[in-house]
Amino acid sequence: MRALLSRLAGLVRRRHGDDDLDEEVRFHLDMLADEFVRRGMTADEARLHARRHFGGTIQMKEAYREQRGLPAVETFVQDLRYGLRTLARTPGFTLAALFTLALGIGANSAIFSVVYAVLLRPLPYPEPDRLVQMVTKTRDFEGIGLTGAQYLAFRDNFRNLEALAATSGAGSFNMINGASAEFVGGIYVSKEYFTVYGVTPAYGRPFTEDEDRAGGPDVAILSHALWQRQFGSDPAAVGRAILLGDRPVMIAGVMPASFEDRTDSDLFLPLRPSMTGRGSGSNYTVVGRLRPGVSIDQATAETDAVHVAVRGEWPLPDETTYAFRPLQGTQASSVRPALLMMLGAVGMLLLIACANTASLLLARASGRGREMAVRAALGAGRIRIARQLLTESVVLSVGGGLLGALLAYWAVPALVALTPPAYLVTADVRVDSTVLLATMGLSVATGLLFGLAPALSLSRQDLTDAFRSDGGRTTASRRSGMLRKTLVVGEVALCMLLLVGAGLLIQTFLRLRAADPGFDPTGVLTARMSLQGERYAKPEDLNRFYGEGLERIRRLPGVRSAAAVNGVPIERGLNLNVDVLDGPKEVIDAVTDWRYATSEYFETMGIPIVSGRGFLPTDRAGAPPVAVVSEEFVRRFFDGQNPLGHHIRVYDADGAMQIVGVAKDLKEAGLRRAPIPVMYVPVAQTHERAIRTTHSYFQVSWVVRADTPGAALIRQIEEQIRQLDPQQPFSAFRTMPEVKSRAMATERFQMTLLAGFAAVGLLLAAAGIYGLLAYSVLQRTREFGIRVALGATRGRILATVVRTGALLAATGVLIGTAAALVLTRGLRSFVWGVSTLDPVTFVSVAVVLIAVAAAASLLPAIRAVRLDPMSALRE
Amino acid sequence: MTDVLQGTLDLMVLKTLDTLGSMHGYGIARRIQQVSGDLLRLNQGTLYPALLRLEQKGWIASRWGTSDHNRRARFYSLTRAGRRQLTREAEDWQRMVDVIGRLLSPGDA
Repeated sequence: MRALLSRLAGLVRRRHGDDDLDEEVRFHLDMLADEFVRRGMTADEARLHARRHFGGTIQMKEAYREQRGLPAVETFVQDLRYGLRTLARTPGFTLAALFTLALGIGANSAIFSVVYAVLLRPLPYPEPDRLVQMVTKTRDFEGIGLTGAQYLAFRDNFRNLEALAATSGAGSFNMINGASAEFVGGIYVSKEYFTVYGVTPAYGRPFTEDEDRAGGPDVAILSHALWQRQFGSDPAAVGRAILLGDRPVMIAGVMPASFEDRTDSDLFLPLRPSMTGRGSGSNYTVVGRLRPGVSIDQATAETDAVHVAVRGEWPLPDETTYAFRPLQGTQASSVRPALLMMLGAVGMLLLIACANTASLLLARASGRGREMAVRAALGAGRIRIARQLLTESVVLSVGGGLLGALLAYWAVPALVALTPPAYLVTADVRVDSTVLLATMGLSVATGLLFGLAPALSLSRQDLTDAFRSDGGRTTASRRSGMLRKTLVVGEVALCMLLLVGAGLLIQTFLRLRAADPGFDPTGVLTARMSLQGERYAKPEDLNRFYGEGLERIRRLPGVRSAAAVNGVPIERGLNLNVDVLDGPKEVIDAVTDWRYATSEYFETMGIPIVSGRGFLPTDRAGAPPVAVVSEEFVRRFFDGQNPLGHHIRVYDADGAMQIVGVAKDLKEAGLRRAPIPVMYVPVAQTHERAIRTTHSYFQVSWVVRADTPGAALIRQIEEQIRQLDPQQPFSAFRTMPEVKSRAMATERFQMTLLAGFAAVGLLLAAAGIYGLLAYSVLQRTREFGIRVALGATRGRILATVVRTGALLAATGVLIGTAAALVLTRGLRSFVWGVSTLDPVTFVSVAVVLIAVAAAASLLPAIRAVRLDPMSALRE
Repeated sequence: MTDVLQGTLDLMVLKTLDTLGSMHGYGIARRIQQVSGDLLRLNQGTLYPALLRLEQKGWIASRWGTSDHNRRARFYSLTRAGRRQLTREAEDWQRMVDVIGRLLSPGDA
């Protein structure tokens, strides 16, 4: 310790110490010389003898300095200065390397900031590692939805949990606050929610036990943002009443601004857990807070005990077991594969950038052979030289990293803006201190990685070789030439991987876009609204509203037809259980997508009726109940036999509905899914319970086929419906092509990103090939001169150079193809409609790569051709 | 003639300073040379890193003073820790000599 302090002090006193030592040595030498003079030597002889006796002063001083200071730090500072000077002397090289590295590191930094925010950063709640999600497990499935019975059975029985909360998405509401109305999203939360998430309302209070019970007082807690928007941040809002739909609700509290609700809700309503309604299905998301010191495994172990204890009292499924998972992981589980895929892609990009920079360094290094030889001759050890070169490359990579961080800082908001809605569980994605730290760590690692090859190659060179007149062409440079070729081949191979991945995602996107949705979306405008609440729950009211509204819309200019439905194609609809009463096989409680529609729906949406008929105005209340089913419905429940005239039943109150038509299959569950069974019923024959159910989950849509479904039409529709019911706002207007495009948002995002990375990779690989060949042409100037002098045609020379480039690329393509054949398997869940081994993609990517490589070789080749043989030979 | 091993040089310097009291580098070198006669080959320059090392360990201290010839010189002297170290090293050395001696003496062991 003492020695260390003294050494640190020595670092500061360095100059002073050197003077001291000089004086000491001079004194010593003088005394020695005096002694020799006394023994009878001349002054000159004596001085010479003194020196011999003393030994080498330089080595001694070097040893002395190393002993005195911290040699590692001093050497580092020295290397740093030297490195910066060297880099400044070759600005072209430095800029190229910095740019390459900034791209590589910046892309990694940007993606990592997303990965960190979504997958790694602790959740923004107190002691987030105590938050756990309860999951249900059957033999081959793990689900995050619990039924009301399951939640209630477990809620109060865990010793290891502080509290167990349930939530359920509440859909959206028309919130009326005095004169202003707003369409807001809500979530139902049980009273335990506040304990579990460790949040207390900024104003007001959490829900009471009474409020969280069926039939309790209607209350709501507002998000901080909604409170600012609607109440101008007035604390007196607490206790006031708002209307949700037509239901008066008292404001019980306001969430603090710091509370991040990852469902993006503006309105928190009491869940009132029960075994009926929502609670009859697996619609509760259950999150608990572990008691301090309890592990997640202990809590999971307790589920079995509780399950056994309560099994008698509650209707619980026998086969199901329960477990807890860290909330962190389950929240982001859906985007994890995509994010990891992106991370892999940018990792490859960084490797390409590394290879490129290493190749640049090697090229420059062979030009520095003589410099290194001189250093070695003057006594610098191999390690010392390698260390200096490594310092140089780390300086370069840290510079690139700083630029990259800047790039990421600018790119991350754009990246987040590009993500589809609700793709990331948090909007809080930024380049923070952790990301910066990771970036810097990555930069240093990068520098060591790409600096290693040149450092080893240069420090190993043969001195006599290096001192020959043409110091550029040594065995070391031949070796480094081999190494550079290997690097370029590796670059091309990596690039091939990226391009194949991007190609597959592009194919997926194109195929999705071209996929036949089953209906004719052009010219169809949809207008959404929430009918949640009492006002349109009665069939008569709902039908009057639809009838008069559609009447008004049909009269608008340019409108060809209009209809209403509880959910448009492509977006998922309400699942209900259906019985087939007189089909070819027994079908009971089969799950089907259930939609109500007005009579002109099939015509308006352009859904072909493949047999039988659609709905007629005569299919009204009181008339024999009818239904139209989809082709998949027929395949699944009628074994493909003609279903017309047969009967099905959903609610007992419906009685038997006769199937009168079969509609073409649509992509009801999203574009990538196989068709699902769908049944349509006339809204005129729908009873109140079904209406309430669908309205509580889904918005309804007015569907209009018009000549020009644009802004003018939207204004007119809004005006017409406002005249009919001023308190019933629309939430969104979308054309069906827009609906389709939104359904492809995830694919578009993933494709755009990967294609962008692949493009950058291609650019870097092209630059790598260009750099390699440009340098090799320079080196082979004399050879080309001789060949031209011996009569080689310019065509031959051109072909030689381009062939080198194309050959390197072809080798890279081969290796890349082999790797891609294995690795694209990881993309299976991202592609659709195309095999991950799609030959078209592989071949076209290979062709593109080799073409780009040939193009990149052309410039150096032309330079080789333009060489004047005489001057080339004289050099 | 033998080269001086590093650890040995430290011991020699400490013993020399113990004998001479305060002394400059040249004096120390001279004294070691004199005592050893022609048996030891010492590159006198290697003395200085050793002096620095001993000083960093806190066994010797140094100050600038004036030599017999009226020139500025750096004088080194033993610290208390240095004296303790000397005792310890001298004992170690003696033990080592005994062991080696016994190993090398023929016959009886």
